[in-house]
Amino acid sequence: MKKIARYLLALYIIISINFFIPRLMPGDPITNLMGEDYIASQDSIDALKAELGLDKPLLVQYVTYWGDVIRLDLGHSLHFHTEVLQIIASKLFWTTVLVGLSILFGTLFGAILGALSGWGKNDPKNKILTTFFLWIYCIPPFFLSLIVLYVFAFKIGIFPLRGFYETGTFTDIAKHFFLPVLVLSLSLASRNYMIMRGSVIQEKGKLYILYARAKGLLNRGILFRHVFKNASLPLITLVALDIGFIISGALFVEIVFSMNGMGTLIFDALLARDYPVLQGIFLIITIMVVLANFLADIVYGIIDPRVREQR
Amino acid sequence: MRKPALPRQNGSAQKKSLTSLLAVVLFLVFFILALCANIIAPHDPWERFDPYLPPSAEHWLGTNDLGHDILSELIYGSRVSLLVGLGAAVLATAIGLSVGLFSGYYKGVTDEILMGITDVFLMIPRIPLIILLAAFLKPSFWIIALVIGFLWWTSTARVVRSKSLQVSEMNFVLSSKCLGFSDMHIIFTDIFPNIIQIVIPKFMLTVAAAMITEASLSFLGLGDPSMKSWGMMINFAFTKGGLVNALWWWFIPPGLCITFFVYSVVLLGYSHEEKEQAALGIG
Amino acid sequence: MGTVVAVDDVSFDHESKETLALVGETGCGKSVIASSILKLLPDNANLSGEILYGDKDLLRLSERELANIRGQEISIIFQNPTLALNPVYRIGDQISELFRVHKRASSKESKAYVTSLLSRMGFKDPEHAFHMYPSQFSEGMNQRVLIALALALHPKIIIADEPTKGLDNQLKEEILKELMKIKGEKESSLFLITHDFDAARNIADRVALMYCGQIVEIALSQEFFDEPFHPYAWGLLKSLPLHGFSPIPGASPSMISPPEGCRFHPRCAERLEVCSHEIPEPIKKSGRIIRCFLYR
Repeated sequence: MKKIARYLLALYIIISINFFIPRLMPGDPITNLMGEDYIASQDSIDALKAELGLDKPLLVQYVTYWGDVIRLDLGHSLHFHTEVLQIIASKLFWTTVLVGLSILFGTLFGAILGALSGWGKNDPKNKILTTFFLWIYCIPPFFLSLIVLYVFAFKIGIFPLRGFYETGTFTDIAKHFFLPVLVLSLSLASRNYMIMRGSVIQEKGKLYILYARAKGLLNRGILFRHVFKNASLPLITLVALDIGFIISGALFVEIVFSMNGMGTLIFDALLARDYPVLQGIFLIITIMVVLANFLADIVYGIIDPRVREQR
Repeated sequence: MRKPALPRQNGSAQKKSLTSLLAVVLFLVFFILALCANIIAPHDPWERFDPYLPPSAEHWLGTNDLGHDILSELIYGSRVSLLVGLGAAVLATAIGLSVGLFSGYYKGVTDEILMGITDVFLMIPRIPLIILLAAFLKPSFWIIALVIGFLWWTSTARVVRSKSLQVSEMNFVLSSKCLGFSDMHIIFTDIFPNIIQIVIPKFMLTVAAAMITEASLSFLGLGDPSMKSWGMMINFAFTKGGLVNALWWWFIPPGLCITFFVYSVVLLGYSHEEKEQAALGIG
Repeated sequence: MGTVVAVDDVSFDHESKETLALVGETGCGKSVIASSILKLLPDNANLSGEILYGDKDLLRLSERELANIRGQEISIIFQNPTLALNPVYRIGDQISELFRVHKRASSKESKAYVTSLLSRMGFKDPEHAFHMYPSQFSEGMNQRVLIALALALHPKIIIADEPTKGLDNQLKEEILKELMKIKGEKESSLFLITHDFDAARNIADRVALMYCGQIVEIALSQEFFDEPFHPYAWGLLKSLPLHGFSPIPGASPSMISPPEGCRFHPRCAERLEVCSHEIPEPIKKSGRIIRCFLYR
């Protein structure tokens, strides 16, 4: 119960921050709330002010804001000519697909390879793999996307240049998603690899591992029955904590590959300085992050009995 | 049964010091580039030559669409990465250290409150927030460094806190308390020196993260327009047709620079951690 | 820093069904012997010599063959019971693992074995205990779990590495009672490693005394405690509260650079000239093995 309260509190605080940002920024308050596309004559300005609630005291504005948030009324986008919620929702699906697939592959490969690497001897194979992932870790996701796009789509031409499907068939979508998922998965895998490897190396030295060997278990048995479960605990926490990072990475990948997701939406909204959309995106992503953390917390509790004890 | 022996020192230890040597050298190269950019760069990066020139003897990396010498841009770009990276990391580490130290030492209500704040900050989607803020403001690289610093202290805080908790239970701290030393004194003379070792790799990783974040922001066009950062170079390449026109010298060099610089920093952080672990007999 | 010679030129026999106690101070190398029998030393350790088990030399076996022997024919009880168990798996699962790995038992079959084992070890509600985690048990209970694990497959040899270290007196008694029970059942031989002389005296058939990485005396338990041969043993018995609490002069030597000649000679009141530059070899005398120039 205490846990749920913590998450709700965090959600409350961050959404409140979202309220204050446009109102604390320099510049014309109406522009800050509506975006740079806004043009109005002097008379409509006063009407607009009233509509936005700018003439009312801050507290009232705050309450109205929360009322809107709860009803998921995220305002209107002048630039895109639709409701903010609508345009975000239409892009959200594809971003979720990208993020979901990448988390799946990235975590799986990264964690398993990292565990094997941490467990095994420090032979050349191990070193090469670790160095490889270290490099990937250091390449900014947007640059990795650029290189991959340049080499595979532009130069070699196996994959399409523009990242969104044209005909809507499954193979077509798959072709367009392949490279972005590859890049994002690699990026995630590198982080997970490093973490898992470090975690396994730490667990390796503990007594219960030696004891498992004393019971007659062989390497493979020990690794997968004992070490993996223990070593993956920090991984779960970090994947959850990293959801923000994962989503941000996805945004950049989408931009480079011109995918029809929230990434390109942000890019366009940025160019047009469409603040309502930008704020809406921030809100939605916040909710996703808090939710992911909450879920991870639950999973962690299921796996690690010591945590359950503390409740 | 005879003679158990200690680990064979030579082979792997040499390898390890070779990689840390590489890291130091790499880092120094960029550091010197940043420091002496005006001496090393062949041209002023704002000076206009013929645009769209491919790499040549005169312009090793050619020129961009405005005629700026790309190599010079590249060299000056190291300044932004270094400044933002270090600046943000210093701020983030300072905050993280303070929060962690106080949290771990005082425990109780202070700990609860500080950890609560940390939890909230941990869940803020950082890059979306920075994008949002940068959209409203006209960011100079100071503001970027500031914002990054204010958002990246949480993992340091957690690590410092757990170590601080550990250390404050130790006997020499208890005896300092009994001797009547003030809390601040104890924190700085007894606890802090024991925490430094953990903070250094964290600091390095924060520098790396800050560099990547700055590059990513600049790539989105949210960088400081008065400075040439590597991210911005890539932004221009992307938005001005560098990709489709196969002008690889527009975006590959800056991207590689980011990667190498980050690599050197990450390696420094990891090698320090490995040295510590080796000294303690783990790993 | 340097090379530690933890165990130097050690040789002893362990008869079937007998209880052999290896006694000595903390740090004299006893635990290293325990771990090395099953080749459980860390990778950076060098082992040489032979460990004969029946007709096999354990040092020459492959990892797979060794894994077969571990837990099944030779089992070991470690010092830190709670740390020896995996914190994220249930007790029952960790015991049944033994059956699943060595006997290919199904989980249902193993569960039956495990519950009977737990009740034999004194757990009042074995069903309930099965589902517990190591963190929910006390140190003493976890030690019982380790003993259960050591007994489970009726091994030929049970190695107990300081099983009562760090436990309070009442627990010590209980654990020792368990070990006595094991001895009484005459199924396995027990190799007990301890620094607790009373425990050794009560349980062991034979005693081997270690000092600074070497075995200095091996004798029948009764004879040893009635009348030890080695000067170190005299010193130890004299230092017991019972006999006056007078400690042996000097300090334990460094394992990295042990004294020349007989390792005990700097602290020995009976030392001869030869003791300071020659290492005494173990010889047979009056049914014992003794490593001391006083008995030449």
